[in-house]
Amino acid sequence: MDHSTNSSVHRAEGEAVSTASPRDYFDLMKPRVMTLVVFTAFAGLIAAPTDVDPFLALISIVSLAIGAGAAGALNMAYDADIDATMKRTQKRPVPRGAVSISNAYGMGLVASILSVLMMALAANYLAAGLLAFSIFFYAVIYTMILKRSTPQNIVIGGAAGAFPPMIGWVIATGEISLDAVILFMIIFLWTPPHSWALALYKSGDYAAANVPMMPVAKGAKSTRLQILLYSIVLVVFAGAPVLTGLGGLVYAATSLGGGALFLLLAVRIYKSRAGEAGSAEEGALYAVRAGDKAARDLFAFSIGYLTVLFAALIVEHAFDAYWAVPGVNL
Amino acid sequence: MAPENGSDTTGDNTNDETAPERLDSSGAPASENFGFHHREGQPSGESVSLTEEQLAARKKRNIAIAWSLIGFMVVVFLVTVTRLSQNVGG
Repeated sequence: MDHSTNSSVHRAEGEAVSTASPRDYFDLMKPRVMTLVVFTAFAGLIAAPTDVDPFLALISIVSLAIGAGAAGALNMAYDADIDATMKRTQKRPVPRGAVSISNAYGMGLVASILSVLMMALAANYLAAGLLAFSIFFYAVIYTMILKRSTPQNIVIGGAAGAFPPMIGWVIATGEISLDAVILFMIIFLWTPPHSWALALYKSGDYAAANVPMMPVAKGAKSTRLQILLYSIVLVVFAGAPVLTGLGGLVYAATSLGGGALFLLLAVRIYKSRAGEAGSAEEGALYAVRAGDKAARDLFAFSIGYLTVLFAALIVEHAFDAYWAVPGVNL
Repeated sequence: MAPENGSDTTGDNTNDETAPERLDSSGAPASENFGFHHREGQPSGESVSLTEEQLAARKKRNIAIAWSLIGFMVVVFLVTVTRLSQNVGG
């Protein structure tokens, strides 16, 4: 019997009839995060010393983007309760009621499976396995276990966001090499100062949601110190691609210049009182009080820093602009 | 929200078998409600008429899902052909 044209439907108790648009489901996939995922994965793919069929590479990157989006949907489904209490996240599709939690889970699971299958078909099983593991790591290990239980949540959970360039590399080569691990480590080390800078001026939001981010659990002073320490390690480690020959002069110059500015901003945060008096609860999404300006500046710059680092690799390897740094290539 | 005592939000006559939108009603035989039951297997007495906005949203979602499935099939086909041409065609 066909009810497809029926204007009246059976409805389970407490379940609203959806007015969600495809755009709401797209927003569920955290499109801005997907953009960074695609960009860093593309850098890994381009920097790899193996040619790959452009069409298969494109489909592989799209699969990776969908997989990242699926992980985002699962994250939003699980975190609907805390997203609703945080100003930064309360307009997301689930907390504002556009998409139900069960639908978000459904979409996340279906997109996860399809993206991994497509990756296996278009690239290789190792890339598909890494994609599956990164989705699992983000949705289960980070979102369901770490996020609400430890201030080290984004330190360990940051691994999930570090996989894309490694997967890009594996798409091209079919194996994990030292350079792939270096690209992974750069994002892994970048995540704590990036996330804690945001958390410093949004600590009130996180405290209200009972999320033990570092400023909430250990205080602003400790967080500022850890931001500085991680920044030093990150900036030093960002030079590693030069040592292996993955990065040339363009990368070296970018890494030096960007790293110096990154350290400058990290020192500025350390000396500031950012995060001391709670968060900037009013105003626009990323609006901050004057005291938190140092934290906002580092947060914004950290995105640019990561972008130019990987852009330098793309420029060197895609546009034939690679010149080895004299005397340091192994 | 859900009407009490199994009444219908559409206000239609419960015994009107010609009403195509009647999917479930309290105490009605399965043959009269097209076999649709509450999740627990009991008649829920709930039904709801979709508004124009809800119908339009559902249509958009259906179209998006359809295009996604078509796109997925096309991509699987093209990837398969590409891999075959590389591996078999040499």
